Parts: sequence; structure tokens; C-alpha cells
Amino acid sequence: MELNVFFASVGADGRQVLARFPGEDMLRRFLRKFPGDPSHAMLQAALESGNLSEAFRAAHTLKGTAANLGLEDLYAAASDLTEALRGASALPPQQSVQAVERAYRSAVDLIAQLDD
Amino acid sequence: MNHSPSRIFHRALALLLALLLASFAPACAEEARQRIRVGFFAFDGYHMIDEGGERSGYGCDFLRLISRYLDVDFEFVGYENSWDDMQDMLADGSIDMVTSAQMTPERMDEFAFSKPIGTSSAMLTASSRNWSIVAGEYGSYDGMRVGMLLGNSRNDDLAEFAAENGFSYAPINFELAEELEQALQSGEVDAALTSSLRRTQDERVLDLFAAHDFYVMVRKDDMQLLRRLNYAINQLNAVEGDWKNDLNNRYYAHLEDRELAFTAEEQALIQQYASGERTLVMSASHDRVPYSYVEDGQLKGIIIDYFDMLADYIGIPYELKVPVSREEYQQWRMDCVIDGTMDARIDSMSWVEDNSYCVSAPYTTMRLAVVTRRDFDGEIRRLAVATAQGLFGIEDNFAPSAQRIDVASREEGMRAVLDGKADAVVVYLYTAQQFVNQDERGLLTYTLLEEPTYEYCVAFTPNVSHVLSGIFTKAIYAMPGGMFEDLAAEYTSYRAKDVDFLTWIKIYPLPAILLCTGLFLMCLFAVLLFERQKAVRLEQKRSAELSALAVQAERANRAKSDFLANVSHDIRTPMNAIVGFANLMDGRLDDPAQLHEYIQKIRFSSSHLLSLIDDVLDMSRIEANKITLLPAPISLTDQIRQVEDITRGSAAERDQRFWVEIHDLEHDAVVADAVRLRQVLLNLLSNAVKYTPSGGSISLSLREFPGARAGSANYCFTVADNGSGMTKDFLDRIFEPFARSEASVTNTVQGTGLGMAITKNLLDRMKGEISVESAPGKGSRFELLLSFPIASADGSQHTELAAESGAIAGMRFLCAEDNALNAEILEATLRMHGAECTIYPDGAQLVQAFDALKPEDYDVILMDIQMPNMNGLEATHAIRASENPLGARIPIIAMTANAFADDVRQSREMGMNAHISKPLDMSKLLRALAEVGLRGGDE
Repeated sequence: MELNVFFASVGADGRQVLARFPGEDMLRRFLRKFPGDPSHAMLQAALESGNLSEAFRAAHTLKGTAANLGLEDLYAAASDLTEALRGASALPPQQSVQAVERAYRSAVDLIAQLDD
Repeated sequence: MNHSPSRIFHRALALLLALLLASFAPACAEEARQRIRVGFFAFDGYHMIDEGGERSGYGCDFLRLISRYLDVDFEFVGYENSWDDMQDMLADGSIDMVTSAQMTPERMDEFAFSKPIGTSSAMLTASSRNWSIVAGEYGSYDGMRVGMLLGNSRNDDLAEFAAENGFSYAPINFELAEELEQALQSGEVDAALTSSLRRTQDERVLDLFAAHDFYVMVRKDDMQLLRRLNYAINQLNAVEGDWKNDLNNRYYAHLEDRELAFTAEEQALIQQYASGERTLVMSASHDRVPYSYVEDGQLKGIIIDYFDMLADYIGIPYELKVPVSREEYQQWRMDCVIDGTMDARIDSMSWVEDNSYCVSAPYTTMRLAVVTRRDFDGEIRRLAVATAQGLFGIEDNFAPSAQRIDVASREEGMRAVLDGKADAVVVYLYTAQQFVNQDERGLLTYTLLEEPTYEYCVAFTPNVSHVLSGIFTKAIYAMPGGMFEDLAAEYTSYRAKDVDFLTWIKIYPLPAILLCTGLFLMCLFAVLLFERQKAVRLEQKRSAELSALAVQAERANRAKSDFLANVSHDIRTPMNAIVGFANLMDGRLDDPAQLHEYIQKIRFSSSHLLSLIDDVLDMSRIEANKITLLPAPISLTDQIRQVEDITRGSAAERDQRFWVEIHDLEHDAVVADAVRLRQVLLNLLSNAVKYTPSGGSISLSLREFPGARAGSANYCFTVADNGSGMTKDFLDRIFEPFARSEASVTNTVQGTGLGMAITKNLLDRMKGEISVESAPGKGSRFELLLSFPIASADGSQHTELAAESGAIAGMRFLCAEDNALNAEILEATLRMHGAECTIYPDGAQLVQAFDALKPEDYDVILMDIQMPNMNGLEATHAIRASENPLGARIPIIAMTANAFADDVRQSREMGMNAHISKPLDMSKLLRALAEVGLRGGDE
């Protein structure tokens, strides 16, 4: 998959993302590292164990990483979840968690299809 | 929708037959299948049986879902029993399974658990009338009496939760959830602890904690049942989508946290009403169906229901006083016989203030609609006007030339329209909706009026404390969005049950005769029943469509819809090609060469579609003012070279000659948004390539001419070609969206028709000008005039390799960023621009390293805020307090995914100098560096 198709699929303008990076190769390299980034797993674990402050931190990190890489859909979903978790005393609404899950899955799936 | 006799006949017949059949029970031969006894203890929201014997609830729907995949019959046992009984009954074999169980070590000795079937939390609630316990303020929890269910695993969760949060409580055990709810409302206990699977009423949620999955629980030796259950649950997971979430939304949507914070003063006032010390007397208009009206001596309607929800939410009792006439109602208001009105429309806030009334925030915006017959020809000659209920003079200006027909009420006005005595009547939207939707013959229709609209609020007379308006305002804000509209739908939507057989005979005697041919009808039964359901569905759909239309009409904006129509048309074309070629491929799977050609065509159409979508997105961002220019120091020659490289390829493909010239360039380094400047030039150049035939010439030139303002320079960019050119007509609308030259030469040319509109918009943003000269067959020439600030002398006047890259070359950054991937991206970005950096994974390590630094080691710190061990704010504090002299003066720039003003303020208070939001890019960094005094490159 070409980069511009990739970014159209994750809800971003590929031209704007690319402008921030030294080149397409570098951007692809970073994108491929994203599935190995631990913040999503940390978020899941924190939500499962009900550790809200840890979940907040993980969601926040995930949001930052998504923003850096131009994964706009994930960034938007993670922003919502971060806000739902900010100072929260109860688990966030299922919808917010699901939205992050969906965006994360599709980002990871699309990254797997990136051209070399 | 037309009501032909045959359809009515179908419907009447179907109804009759449905009635006949309803009295027979199925008499099929039953296949022998396993019966499974399910523990079905009463629990509101989870296991419920209504007066009609209909079962519902999360647990019930779960059984319905799995029964799709299991060949078993369920028997529902023990509605009158408690949860505690369920465990005994399961152990002694009087039931086979129970479905809401938490997995605990004790239970695992005796029972086995299925795969998870949902997630629940422990839920602590208080009565909505009890404000002495403040959610989250554990001091106010101390010593409270908590009602809980016997044998419930949640009771242990509370013990742990209380220990964690340092409060004590006295547990009081109940057998049944219903007893617990009564005790909570009567004040016998202060709070109730159950699973969040209980649906609450008149309760507010204090805390939700200990979220765990729950399961189906069976006897440990019943592995066969467990296997079948797990099989069915696997099927649900594979087939039924997000079924757990769906069930949750169906039964527990109320659990969204909507905590109302009433102040002590407000609580005290509510308490006075709740205790009966004061009485609140409210009223509303008696003649505004379906908003508020009198039926059987009672006030009813949407507004009454809505107010009741507000009062219920606040926990404030009230009395309803029913007016007999409009005059009486007005008199009550003026004489303060009542304390407040539910349906206040405020014309003059000054009057309210001068007379010491008070009002809540508006809770709905009322709109008007014109009701006409479906066959109405468009000219209003006779307008029905309700004499007693004039709509505030709206009719005076509406259809001024029409004859006025006095009617007693709006209903009578609508009836006059129905009977053809008047052409139109103006009424409130829901009044129109209700009347039109409930008119069986479907002769009427209505049109929403854009103007005027009226905001309605709750108003209070000088009798009572103004604090009430604040209390009700908070309740209004706490109501879920769309609540008023939901209530309205109850009144206005078409209801199939209103259509009884007699009504039909009354309106249409003919079907009654037809009904006599009973035998014939029997044969048609199946078809007819289906017809009827379809008709009802159509009616419901029609009412839904009408309300959707009403909403759309408000927002309709001609320009936007034209734009959309064009976009849809343009998206269809390549989309059709894609679908078409995909279909063709199916028939040619054995012919690789042909397949290859089709794939090429699909690829071509897809990339065209993609560029169209990119352009539409760009356009909408521009129109929504979402595009911000990000100016940074750049080299103009560098930009021209980049644009040249891209264009040269496509020009060569078409054998076109491409010239690039740069004249008189005194200032090459300027401050501009490079991405957008390139976009503008590429738009013009790609058009030139597209509209110039093979062998033609294209040129791009840049010239500087003397600046008007000090510190800035003026430039003229020219893009010219000797291609097909444009007609005068087309030149006039070239910058409009979707303008495209229709000349026959260009019919084969693919373009989105948005490029020039985007170009013009971007130039407007850059305060530039564009002009164009062209004639058919003579080519085109575009001239752009732009003015840019000259980049400062600070290392940015090197030509060629951009000033953009040089701006931070050699700078040394000290960074803290905990996420490895983000750290890597940060490092790559900084190094790409020639800067050096050291990145620490948390605040503590950075601070530790900082103490040993020499002043010349680093220029600036970039600090993430959210980090483990020591966060960015604490780290900044530590650095500012450090004994290292560098600590007081090194600029610290916060770098986070937060863009909240609050966070920015907090970071400043901690001693940070600037703030950048992720994603990090050069222009943001340069701006922040300028802010902390390290670079003067930005405007």
C-alpha cells in the first residue's frame, strides 16, 4: 500500500504528515515500529486491572504517539479516552474503549500492508 | 402515501385474522430436546417480568441470543428467589445454571464457569433525594449504613474499596434487590451496594469500582452443559458483533456518569421542599397539544413530562395547578397564585428582571410549521388563524394577502385545512407532526418554518427563591441530549395500535362489505399480514423521515448542498469505473493480460478518487478555517527546485518542454509556509501539463521586485503554457469549486475541479493575489503576487539548502520522553535539522543528569509532561530549584499531547517557558524557540 493511501485510510492528510519527517523511508520505518510500541498493551492491562491512573497515562502516551505518526483516527479516539480517564473514578464508557480498539486494530492492520 | 381501497382492505383483514389467530396456541409436534432450568431471580435490568408476563433484561436477552445456536429449551425458575438462594438451588440440582455470577475462589470449589458474558462493576448508590453523601468525598461516606445483598461477591469488593479510601460503614443485609431498593428510598439505609447490573431509579451513582467479567455458572460435574454454553458463546462472539456492548446499552445506558453538583445552599432549599416545609406549585398552558394540554382534568404533554423528569432528577416534589382558560393562566402568573410556569417564553428579559421573576436556561427551541393538504397548489388564499391562541403575531406577516379564517383553536385550524375550508394554518412543529402523522388518510403535510423560533424555559414568580432557577438549570444541563425530542416522539409518532378495525369501517364503508368474502381472504392471509407490517413500518419510517427532514431543513445551506451534489457526482464517476472493471474481471479470470489491463484501470480510477477526496478534504478544511499556515524560514530557490523536480517528470511523459527561470532574487530566505506554497505552484503546474498537448511548452518563473514594507520582499511567480487555453466564460468562474473547462479537447482530461478553488483560497490565506490571462488555443498565463517577511540574518541567508534546515543546526537539546518510539521520532526530527540531543526516559533521570551538567552543555530542554517516576512538572520544579546555575536560566519547553489552556497555565506556573503540542514539527519548534528568545526567525 502506498503511503498516501495508508494515510487516507487512517484519516490523515499524508502530505502534512510527510512534511514532518526526513523522508518517506524514515516515516515508514517509524510506522512499522508502532505495532511494537507498548503503550496500547499497557492501556489494555491497566483497564483490565482497573488501574485508572495508569490507564490515563497509557492512553495519553498512545495519543501522543498516534499524533506523531499521523494516525488521526486513533489520535481522535485516544484523545476522547484520555479525557474520559482524566481524574476519573470509574471505568470509562465501553464505547470510548471500543473506539480506541477499533482504530488501533485498523492502524496495525494497515501498517502490515504498507509497501516496502 | 396513498390509501387505496385494496390496501385498507388488506390491513383491516389482516387485523381481523391476527385477532382470531391470537387465541390459538401452537399445536405442532414437538421434537424432544433438552430442557435447561435457568435461575431467573428478579433483578431490575437483568431479569424482569412485566405485568403481561413478558420477560426482558440483560440476562434474559443473553439467553435469547445463545438459544439461537443451541437446540435446547430454557425453563425460567426462581423469579421470587434471591441471589443467595440461586447458589443453593444450583448446588442441590433444582436449577442447572445461573448467569450473572462473578468468579470467586470459594465458588470455584463447587461450580464451573463459562467464558465471560459481560463486565460489571460494584455499584454504590444513594437516593437522589439524599445529598448528605457527596460522591468521591469519602469523608462524607464515613459511618454510613450500606444495604447489600446476602451472599453477593460484591460485598467483599466494598470492604476492600472502603479500606483503600479510608471510610467505615455498617453493612445491612437484604434477601431481595427489591427490599434493598425500598430501604434505600425510605432512608433505612444510606447507600446501596449491588452489581452494576441492577437498573436504578431515583438513585444516583456514588462510585463504580472493581470491574470484573461475569459468567454463566454451572455445577462442576455438568461439563456437558458447560461445553454447549461455551460453544454458543463462541458463536455469539463470532456472529453477533459487539453483543455485550449492545446489551449494556439496551439496559444500562443510564449509568453514564451525570453527577449533579448542587451547592450547599441549593441542597438546603431542595431539602425544604422535599420535607414539605415549602410547596412548589407549577402550571402550564392548557391548550397546546401535544406540548401541554388538559385531558380528563389532568395536565399532560411533552412539557409536563419533561418537567417531571427534571423534578424527579432534582428530587423536588411539586403540585400541578390546572388552568381552565388562557386568561386564568395568565392571571395566575401575574398574581403569583402559582410559583412557576413550565412553558415560559421570554420576550423581554428586562421585564423579568424588573418584576423580580427568574428563569432557567432554555430547555428547548420551539419551531413553527405550516400545515397544508398534500394536494395544495402553493398559493395560500385562505389562512386559518386561531383567535384565542394567536401565535404572537406571526400570522400578521405570513401570507399577507390571504383571507383570514377565524377558528377557535389550532386543532380546529388543522381540521379546517383537512376539510378544505382553509389552505394553510401555522402551528408549532410537534402539533403539526402529531396531527399529520395521526391523520389516517394521509391527506395532510407540513413544512417547517426557518423563522421565527422560540426558546422555552422554566420561570418562577417573585414568590420563590431565585435559587430555584439555578437548580433547574443544572437539571436541564444534566438531561441527556435529545431528551425533549425523545419525549416528543412519544406523542407525535404514528401508532399502529390507534388504527382499529372500526376506524377503518367508519372512514371507508367499502372494505366492510368486502370483508364478507371471508373464505377468499383466508387464502391470502400470509401475504396480507406481511403487507400490514410493511405498511406500519412505512408509516413509522415516514414519520421518522419527516422529522429528519425538519432537522435538515434548518441546516440546509444552498451552497453546501450544491457542493455536495458535485462531489457526489464526481465521486460516482471513478467509483462506477472501479465497480464496472471489478465486475469485468470476474469474467476474465483465465486471461492474465486482460486482467492486468482491468487492474490498471481500477488503479487509475482509485488514484483519481483518492486525489479527489484529498482535494475535498482540503477544501472543507479551508472553508471551515481549519487550515493554519505554518510559516518557517525557507529558501525560495529550494522550493522552486522541488516543484520543478515533480513537474519535470510528468511534462517529460507528455513530451512537453519545461522552463524554469529565477530573476533578480535579492532575498532567497523568507518566512513562509513551504508546504502550502508548493501546493499552490503544483496545482497551477499540473493544470498546465494537463491542458497542454504533447510537444507544447510550459514555464515557471520567479522574480523579486522592490519591497513595499521594510523587512519584507515582494515576489511574482508566473506559470504559463501554450496549451488549449480557456474561454472568457470559463475564466469568469475558474476559481469556483467544480468549475471545469468543457471544451472537447479536454474531455478526456481527469481533474477534480477543485484545484483552482483551493489555490485561490490558499492564496487568500497568504494574502496573495492571482491573475490569469488566457484565450482558446492561445495558452494560459497565471501570475501570483506574494509578499513574504525576509528571514533574519541569523544563519538563514545561505542559499540553496534551506534555511528551514539550518535554523536549529548545532543546537543542543536535553529531552525527557518516556515512550521509546516517540523518543526515536524526536531524535530523528532534531538530527535531521542538524541539532544534537540527549533523551532521558523520565523526569527523575533527567534531573539526576542535570545536576552534573556544565552550563555550555545544552541550550534548551524539551520536556514531556506525563512520565513515570517524576513527571515533567515535578522535573521542571526540581531543575528550577537546582543548585546548578544553569537551572535558573535554561529555557524549558513543555511538549505534550495536551492542548488544554489549563495544562499550559500549569506548566508556566512550574517554571516552563513555552509549550508545544504533539506532533512535533519544525515550525512549532521554531516558534517556541523564538518565544524563549533562542531564535528570532519567526514573525
